[in-house]
Amino acid sequence: MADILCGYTADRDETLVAYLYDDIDEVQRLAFEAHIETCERCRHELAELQSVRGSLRQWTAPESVRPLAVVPPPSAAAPQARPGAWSALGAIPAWAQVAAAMLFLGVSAGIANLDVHYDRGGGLTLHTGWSRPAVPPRASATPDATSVQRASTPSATTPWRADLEALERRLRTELHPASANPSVQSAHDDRNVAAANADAQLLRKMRTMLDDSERRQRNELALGLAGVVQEFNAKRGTDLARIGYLNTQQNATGIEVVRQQRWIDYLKTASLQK
Amino acid sequence: MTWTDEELVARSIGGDSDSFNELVHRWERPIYALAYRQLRREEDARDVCQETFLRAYRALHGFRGQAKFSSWLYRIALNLCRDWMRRERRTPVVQAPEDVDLMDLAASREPSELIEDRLERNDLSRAVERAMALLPEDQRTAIVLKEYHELTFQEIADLVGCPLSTVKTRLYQGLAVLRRELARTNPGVKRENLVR
Repeated sequence: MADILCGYTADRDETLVAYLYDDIDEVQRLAFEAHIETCERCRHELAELQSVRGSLRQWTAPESVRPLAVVPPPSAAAPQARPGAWSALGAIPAWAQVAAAMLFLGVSAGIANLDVHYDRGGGLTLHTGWSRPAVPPRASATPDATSVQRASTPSATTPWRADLEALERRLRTELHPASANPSVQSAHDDRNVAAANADAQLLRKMRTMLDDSERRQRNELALGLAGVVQEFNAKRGTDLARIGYLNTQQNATGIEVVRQQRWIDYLKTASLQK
Repeated sequence: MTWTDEELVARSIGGDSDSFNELVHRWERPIYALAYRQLRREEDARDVCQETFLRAYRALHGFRGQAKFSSWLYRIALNLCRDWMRRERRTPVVQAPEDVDLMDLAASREPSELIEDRLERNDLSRAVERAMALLPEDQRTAIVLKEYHELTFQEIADLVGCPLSTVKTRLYQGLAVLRRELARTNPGVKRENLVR
């Protein structure tokens, strides 16, 4: 076909492709249509390229299974951690944290019945005993033994209780305005929104992954099934063909047997006649 | 009310993320298909698609509207595909198409007939994919943009930055290669399957 000459004077290939996609101006189109009426080569090539376009349409891109979406960014630029139980500590001033730690140690020591005893001979000795009953001080205590401190069973007059109450009051006054402050509240809200967005994103990702996995498994299973079905059909076809062949053979053998039988009968008859 | 792309861009610039989501919704599929046909890998296509919208989102303020929003997106996606191929030093590969629902195929009442049809179509799809992978990038891009995205020759020329006649020549040459290749690899393809 290539040896058939084409007398189209303009840019033939460009015009052909423009005509093929119907992206051509009217004058050119009319001129080319008039040309292909008489040009076998162009007509043939046009038909071939239309076939190629038909084939191209068979090639579909797979579905994108991961939908995209823009999540509005939280007001703070840096990613925020989810506020936890310890995040409130940030709002407590350092002095209060230290005081609370000291108080905690003091209370623990009191509850644990801690004895701190200084003896010239034995040096500093510490005794602990959980809820050990308090032993009244003996009058005949060694004169050189100096009791430095004794934290015994807590009573109503324990000094740390007053300290605890004072600290609690001060903490309340420090924390209350912080929670009432709208800017701090809004920062908390932003953190909550960011956390919710992060959760939603995570959920979406998980869902997509699950869908992907499910789809892949389904395809693999179906592919396997299709293979089995195809194999079964092929095998069935072969078996049927073989059965057909055997039947034919059997028929041919039967016919041959009958013919032989007749031949034997004829020979018998002929020999008897002689 | 349906907003135009350009109106949605303006609203997105104003801070309305729903408008940008609408743009993503509109253009995600074409951009993904473009990337897939360029790269032939679903995962890579997805990544490029995502990156395209991410870049578009970041550069939205720079979009002046001289070109159509879609052309702008296509340009970003094509550049990303090119970078992707260069960076990964990969040549496009052929991946089994997933467009055929094999579950239906397997569960069909007349499996042999359906399987034949489906498999033939599948074979053709793969043959096209393989043949496309043989084309030089510029020819493939021209064919993809024209055939699957229905851009005009002028739009393609603007997008890839070459004269109009070059686009037509690339397209013609690409189609000629495909024609030869398909005739070689799929000589038995029924004509009625090709012309639809």
